[in-house]
Amino acid sequence: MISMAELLSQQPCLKELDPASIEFMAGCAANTFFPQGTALLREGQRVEKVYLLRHGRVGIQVHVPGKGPKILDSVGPGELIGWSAFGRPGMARMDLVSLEDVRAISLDAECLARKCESDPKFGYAMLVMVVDVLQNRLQSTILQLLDLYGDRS
Amino acid sequence: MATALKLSTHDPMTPRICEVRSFRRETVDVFTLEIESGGIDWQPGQFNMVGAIGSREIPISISGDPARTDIWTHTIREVGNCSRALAHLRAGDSVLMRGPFGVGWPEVEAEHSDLLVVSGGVGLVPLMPTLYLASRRPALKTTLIYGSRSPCDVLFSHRLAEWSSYPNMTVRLTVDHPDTDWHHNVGLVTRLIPTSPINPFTTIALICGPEVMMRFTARELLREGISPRSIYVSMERNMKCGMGLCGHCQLRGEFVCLSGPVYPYDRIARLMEIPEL
Repeated sequence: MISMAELLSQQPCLKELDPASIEFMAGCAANTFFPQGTALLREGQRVEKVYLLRHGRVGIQVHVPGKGPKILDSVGPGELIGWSAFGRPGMARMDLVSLEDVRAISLDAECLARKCESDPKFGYAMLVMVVDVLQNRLQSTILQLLDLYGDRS
Repeated sequence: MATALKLSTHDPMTPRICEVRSFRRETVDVFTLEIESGGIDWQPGQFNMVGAIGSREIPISISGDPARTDIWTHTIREVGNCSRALAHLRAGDSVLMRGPFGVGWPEVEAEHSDLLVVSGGVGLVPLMPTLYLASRRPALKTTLIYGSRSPCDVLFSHRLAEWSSYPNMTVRLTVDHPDTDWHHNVGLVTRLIPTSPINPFTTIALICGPEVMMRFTARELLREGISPRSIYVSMERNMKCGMGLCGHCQLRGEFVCLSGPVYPYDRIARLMEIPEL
């Protein structure tokens, strides 16, 4: 059976972490499953887990009054969601809903925070990893604002 | 009925009068014309200058299957007077054609066992001939990442659905604005690159779409370790003569109609970074 550390080391967003850090992180990790249509998080909820997706996609959505939920982005295998856990006040900014059956590694946010504080080298590696995720997500959002394919005016 | 005048192919400046074989609406503002080709050879990625009679001609990429040598398939977005005039053509009508022009996509060599195609919007059009060829090469692992504005803007959806069932082809669709029936990805094409199975040493990547998208896509591919020599982009400029004479499509030292529109990224990357160009 494959160990949690091995599973974590296969995640693309953790490829820069050294084996010791991966092993350290594995103590906060567990396998988890969400059937299609499950809300992993709702806007305003306290974020207690960070998820590394292994299979399936999760929609990042916002509820628009009168129009219902609107999916703004989707994340798939190899991507990280729930990074609001690292910020303050640690509340979800948007809904996360599984668009299909999802298998993920959940990382306990409090456990991770304790490890980051106790080991600054590990904490810095986590910071770099999260910033990388954030800058990719931000770049994608900014480019979407350009409406690159769309202008029909 | 109009007939292709093969004699005039000797003079690339003289338009031939060709017959439209069919008109097909693809999306609300994109349509496809099948036009008799007169059996003229062409390469995937090349373009023709196409004009309705009485209207100016515009450069249009060839979107059809290279196996069909009797017709040119042109998929066109209605954005101006010339393309709107073309949208009024129907089977049996005449159209003015010059071409084909330009340098197309490279042939996928034996050392490349993986083909990655990244396209956005109507940028899928010039890549279709290459995808037709790839679909008939079971040993070539092909991944298409295709981004559109919304589900109703996805081009060639039936063909893409068919290809996605091929064992050697992976089709990953993404849109900016999904509707409730959309079951694919949401977001920019660049987001799908890190999670696509890419072997940087065996992959050749072809990109076509808005230039901003191509720039960011190329950067993402470089991050994945693909050599700039294995990345190709198709540039869009204001092509007029198609022969490098008029200078309308000049991009510093390059005449895009002549040395492009397809370029290896290492040759064009520097020019893509200059805002004034």
